[in-house]
Amino acid sequence: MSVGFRAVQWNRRKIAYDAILLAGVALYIAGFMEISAWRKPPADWPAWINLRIDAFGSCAFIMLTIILSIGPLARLDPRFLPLLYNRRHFGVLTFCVAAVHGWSVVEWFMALDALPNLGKELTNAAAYGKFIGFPYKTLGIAALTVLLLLAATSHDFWLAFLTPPVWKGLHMLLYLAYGVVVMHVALGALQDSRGPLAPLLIGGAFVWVAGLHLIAGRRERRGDRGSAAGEGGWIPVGPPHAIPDKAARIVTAPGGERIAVFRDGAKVGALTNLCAHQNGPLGEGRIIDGCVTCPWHGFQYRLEDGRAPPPFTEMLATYPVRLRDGIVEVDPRPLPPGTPAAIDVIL
Amino acid sequence: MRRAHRTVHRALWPVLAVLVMIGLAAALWLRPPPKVESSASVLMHAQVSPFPSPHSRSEWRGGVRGGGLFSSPHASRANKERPPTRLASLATLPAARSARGGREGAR
Repeated sequence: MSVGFRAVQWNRRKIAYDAILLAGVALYIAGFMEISAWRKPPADWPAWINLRIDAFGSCAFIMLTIILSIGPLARLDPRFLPLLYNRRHFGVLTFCVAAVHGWSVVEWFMALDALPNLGKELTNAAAYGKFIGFPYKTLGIAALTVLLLLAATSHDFWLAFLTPPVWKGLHMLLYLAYGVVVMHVALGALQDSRGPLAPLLIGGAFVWVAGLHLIAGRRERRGDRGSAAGEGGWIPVGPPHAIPDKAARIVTAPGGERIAVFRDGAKVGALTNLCAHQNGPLGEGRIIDGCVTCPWHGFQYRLEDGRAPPPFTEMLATYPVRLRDGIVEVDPRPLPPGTPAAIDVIL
Repeated sequence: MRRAHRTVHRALWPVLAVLVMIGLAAALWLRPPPKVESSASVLMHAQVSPFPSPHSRSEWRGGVRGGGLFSSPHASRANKERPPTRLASLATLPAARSARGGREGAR
């Protein structure tokens, strides 16, 4: 393999993020079980397991809902970006919580000495033709499998090995998994729930997540419209002062990817909008310590040539820029990664 | 995200939203009505059956959380006729007893 493995590089922010996450999960599980047991004391061990099934299942659902909200929320409001920073740890913990939920179901059958019944339920072919009565545990297993796949490939090693486009495509399976989980709950737990609260919470969570993604997608569509090209295919960006200092204006090559045109004082340069790490939106970042900094995970690149400062080795495609009649223009044909292309402009 | 990812994202979410909302609505609309029991039968049931049905599932279906069949060919009928008392008696089986006793012993 051409990609070297490096263990998770911890920093204070990641430790704080994970500590808050673990504390939140522990509090929820303990609170759920405590309150449920107080309201209706479990009669025996299977009833305790049942309580655990509900506690971990609902916790995993809430965590999935939050994870899927972070992406579009960060697109719509940069104040949510800190949540995105360590989202992969959130995902791995969600898988762990969901796995305990799944294992508890198996344990429930084992406690009743009825494990073969679980197998029969999952292999009852006739039930798969029904809607009500569909073996909803299969849906849970399918979603858990997706979560396992995503958790197993969440490390940067797999991100580099699979390449960001493939990795991102793989991790978009989470959208489908969420839909499957909603149906798992709808055909399972909600079938016995008579009050309006549970359906409202489940339905509300899905509407919230779907709504956020639809709004964010609609907004992104506007950004994907190709910018009008001028003479020779060059795209006008605007006068230099129209580009905010130490930030970027984003233009879109017709039918192509977005280009981030940054200004650092009197220097203007154009880089691809895709961070080499996770294809984050580089143009929404800022120039910090002389380097373009990705808003997602802080990967940095030099404006003049798109190279990460030593000892890092990542490189981005750059684009030729020019100043013509007081207007900054960018050529949408990318240069090889790491090619110097920034220019000085007179403000 | 690359343009291709954004395109997939934009195409996927409307379809997913519609399908899941229809599925969710249908699952709620078609769910079986709750069983109406007289207070006497509820009381008797409570006395003979301390078994904790998971989620108080709408009916006893073979000791399986949310469905399933017994191994016996007469299982489904037996399930309806002999509800949770059979489960209560499972507690006396060695496996269940050890599972239960083990946990209680651990407390």
